[in-house]
Amino acid sequence: MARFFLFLGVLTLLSAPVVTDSTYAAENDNGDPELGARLYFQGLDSNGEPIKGLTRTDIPIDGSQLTCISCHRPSGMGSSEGGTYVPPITASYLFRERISDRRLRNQRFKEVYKERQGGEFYDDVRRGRLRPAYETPHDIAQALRDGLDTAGRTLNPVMPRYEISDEDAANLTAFLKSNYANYDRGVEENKIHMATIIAGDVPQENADAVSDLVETYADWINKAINVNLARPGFSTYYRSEFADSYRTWETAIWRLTGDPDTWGEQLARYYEEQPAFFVVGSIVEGDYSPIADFCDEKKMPCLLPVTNLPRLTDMENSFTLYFSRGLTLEAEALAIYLSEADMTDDIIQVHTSDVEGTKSAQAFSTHMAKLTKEPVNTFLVNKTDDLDETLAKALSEKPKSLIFWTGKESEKAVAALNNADLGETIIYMPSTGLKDIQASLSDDKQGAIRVTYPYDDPKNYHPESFRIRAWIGSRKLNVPDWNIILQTFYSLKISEFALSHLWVDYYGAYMIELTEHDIGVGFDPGPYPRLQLGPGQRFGSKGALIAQLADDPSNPSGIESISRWIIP
Amino acid sequence: MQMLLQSVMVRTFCRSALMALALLLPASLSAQTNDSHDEHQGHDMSRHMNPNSTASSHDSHAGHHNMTHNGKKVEMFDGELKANTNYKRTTSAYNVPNVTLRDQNGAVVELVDYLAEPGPVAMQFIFTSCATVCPVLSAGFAQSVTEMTTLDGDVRLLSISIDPEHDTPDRLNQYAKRYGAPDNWTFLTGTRNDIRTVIMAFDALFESDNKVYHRPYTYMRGEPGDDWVRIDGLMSKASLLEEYTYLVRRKSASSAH
Repeated sequence: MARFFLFLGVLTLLSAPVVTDSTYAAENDNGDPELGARLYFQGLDSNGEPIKGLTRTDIPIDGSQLTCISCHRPSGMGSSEGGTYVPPITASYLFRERISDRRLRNQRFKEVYKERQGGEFYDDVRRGRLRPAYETPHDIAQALRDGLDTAGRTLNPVMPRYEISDEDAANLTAFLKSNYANYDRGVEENKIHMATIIAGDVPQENADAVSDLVETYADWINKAINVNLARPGFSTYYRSEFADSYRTWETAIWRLTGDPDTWGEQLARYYEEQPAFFVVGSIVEGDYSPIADFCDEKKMPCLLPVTNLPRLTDMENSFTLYFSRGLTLEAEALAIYLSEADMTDDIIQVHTSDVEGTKSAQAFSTHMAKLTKEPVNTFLVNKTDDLDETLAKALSEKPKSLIFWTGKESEKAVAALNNADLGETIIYMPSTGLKDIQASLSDDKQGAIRVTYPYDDPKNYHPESFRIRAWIGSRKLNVPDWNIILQTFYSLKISEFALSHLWVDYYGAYMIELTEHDIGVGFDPGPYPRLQLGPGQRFGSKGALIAQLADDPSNPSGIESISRWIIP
Repeated sequence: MQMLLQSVMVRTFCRSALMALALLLPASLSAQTNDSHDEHQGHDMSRHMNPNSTASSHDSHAGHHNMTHNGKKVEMFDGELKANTNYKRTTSAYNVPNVTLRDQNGAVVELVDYLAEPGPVAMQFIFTSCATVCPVLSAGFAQSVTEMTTLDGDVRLLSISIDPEHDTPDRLNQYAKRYGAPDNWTFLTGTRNDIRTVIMAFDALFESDNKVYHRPYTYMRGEPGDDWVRIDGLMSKASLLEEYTYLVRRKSASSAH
């Protein structure tokens, strides 16, 4: 009987009216939401000056050091850090009366987050749950200036007391009441829409492997959700407490073809047909920038795509989280390696004309110039048929080191190496060529080859990878490339984690923040070292190795590191 | 109007409830709390788990006095450390690990050598992308460094990154500029392993290897070989200066003997 009532409670909870941020949009109290946004994100008042305040009662700070976004984060959902709890201030929390109600977020915080925190932390979590709604700019001003909430309680002294004008309080109120975080696009009552982007010249077997894995994983998640929801009173690990957050995953493959300049339009058509709340497990050949731009425009989290060319501008506010900086990282790490080994003389680089080859060569030249102040002697392969000739021309100068940025042409580049007389020259190639090197480089050339390697040292152990291999094997999924499969699985796993911690607060930025907070803590399957992020960080792995081929039967990777872990 | 009335009623009710709760608190509990504190009320003076921990006892001269330092007249805090429930305080000896780090200018810093230099040191663990705790820790240093230097011109401040792979010397340099760090405030980074060694040596390990769980510690010591005072909590500037002044006063008193 008790279970029955619990189930009734769950049903009641599921049918509770949803209050979204847009509910409050009409009541803007004459403030300017755009100036409010500038105050929130940049800490600038209506005159464009940094706001000033005091934290911990007597420590002066200004908007460049500590502003709303610092602690309450871009989503407004707050954070927890170093024993300090920062509450959510989105419209649906701030402008709503807080009553004693089991459904409210802070009541259930401890059960879902399971963070080991002190009593003071949990006191803060639950403090002030009984208070009237904030309503007017005056209420906001009172909190910001005097540190008093609407019940008259004193806010945590870490919350700065700002010198803020009535105009700024009105602007901030208008901003907070707007749906600035683009709440809940792609979320329905019982399901959540996700997309997987496959873009550019991705080999068909890789594209099929990624989409099969995504769909199989979603099916696995959905079965678990349906089993749990079909059991009245299920409560292991408090799961029944969060039934309102259970939504089945609806997958979609967004296949982008043709000129990357058209990818934005293709994405817009897919999105118009069915918005996705987030993007997971993508694989992209070529410049990822058009996709990053689209994710930002829609405030849509795009988690851990497989790409060698991430967008490297406007990173802090980007809605894409990456494994690493890809080929740019590899080029910079190589420049540092050569510099540290005092091998910066007699370097020639040869690169293909595709975007991968060109960007790698640019990154290498730029970093070498920074380290040595000298330009790099560079040879461009205008078209694929010129590979042998250009390589021979470069080698005829007998450089000590030849950097060979092979782009999409690694198979033909390896064939060209097989035909070439390398002499004493050491050839450096990117990790993207490793598969072709291992498949077809002739034995007599293997000692002359080095590769840049943005993954963990092959001798390091990642026990999770074996569990994933078992998971994949038991479902008989095709694995053309383990690195791609492990990265896609990682993307799915971290999405599952973030979604379960979003609860019912479907803000894209919050999904990013949850991932920043906990990535790498409980899951480390490789091929990268344990990933780490932080607020505003976008690359989980920061370094790369230089490796050479290894003829060791006990080392299935076939390579061994010859450098330290280089972080540019 | 009805909503406003409800708001007032709720506020009134909350305050009444809080007052009633306060009145219900047993007097014995309050007395017990007072008895459990020594002259440094409110500080957790419990012995640290570190086997090198040593007992610390503070002089309890009340009031303030003036002294002259480097030709400047400064007021020294000269009394009991006041009750403070916002942070905990322990005293321990730590073995400084032999690691090579880099400062915000890219220069090599041997931590052992750095901490063997005479003069007081105040130290915090931070990371530059930290959203909540580190800005307050660093702002506390930034706002106190002038007074700290006035009290003892040899003082050095140290902020060690616990996110070394992200916090390159360039990033630390930008962070230092954001807080207007003077020359005697150094920011250090290193390899992941070396930083972990330092964190463990100062017993500042955080749960799950997740830097966002790091405690807001501030460490201070008077001279090489002295025990370290470790403060756990986000302090006001007044509290930070009070702790520091106490440390410097003890140092001055012991050197006079």
